[in-house]
Amino acid sequence: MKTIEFLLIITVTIFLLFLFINKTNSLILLNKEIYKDIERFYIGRYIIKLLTEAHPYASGICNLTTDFFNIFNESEFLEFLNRNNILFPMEIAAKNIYDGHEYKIGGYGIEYYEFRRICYYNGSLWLITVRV
Amino acid sequence: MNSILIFEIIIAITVTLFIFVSYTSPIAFINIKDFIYEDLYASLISLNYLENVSEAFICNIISNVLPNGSYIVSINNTYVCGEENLTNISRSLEYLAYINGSIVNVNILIK
Repeated sequence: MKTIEFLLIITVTIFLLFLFINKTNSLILLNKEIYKDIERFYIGRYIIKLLTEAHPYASGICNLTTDFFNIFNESEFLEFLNRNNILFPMEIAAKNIYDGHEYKIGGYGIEYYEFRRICYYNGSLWLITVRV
Repeated sequence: MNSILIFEIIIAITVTLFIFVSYTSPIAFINIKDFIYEDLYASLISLNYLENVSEAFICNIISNVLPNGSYIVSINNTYVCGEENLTNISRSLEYLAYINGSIVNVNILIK
């Protein structure tokens, strides 16, 4: 084999390796971002469903109980986050759509997912918002 | 150019193309519209707990669940609220509601 051919093979191999590593690395980073995004989305879905469908927060679909409003107590909210292993910033809000009375707790980042449901409680309808 | 060199170039091009073409992200992005239906439907269920329901209630609920969404609401095929000239409808939802002593068919079309 001539020297020029050998050098060409070495160059092409290094180039291909470089491309492969670069591509793999960018894919790993992209997938990490996507996984994080999907995790955030599904946490939001899980929380809105938990708060509006499951005991002790609701009795049936979108029929809120008094326990639901305990979540706006700071210590209860922190315990709720710990219990559900939530590591993303999250805001939960409940607004009475008749008189505008609003409860709010937590916070959220620049990019967030928002889930909204209207639920019944004690003769009135409340807009429940989860931002994560 | 000898045959070995040509062969190597073909291999190099093939492998490079393989790297660029075969590696696509296996994760599909979420279509949030698929999940809005669940929230919209759950919200409409809350109407069942109210004694007096009106068309305005239904419109109020939908506008709160879909604040930025383009939608049209019709009850028994009669326009009630939303964008009247809505085009490019991607999803629809039908719901039976009890209004003023009779069961009505609520149809929600979403862009």
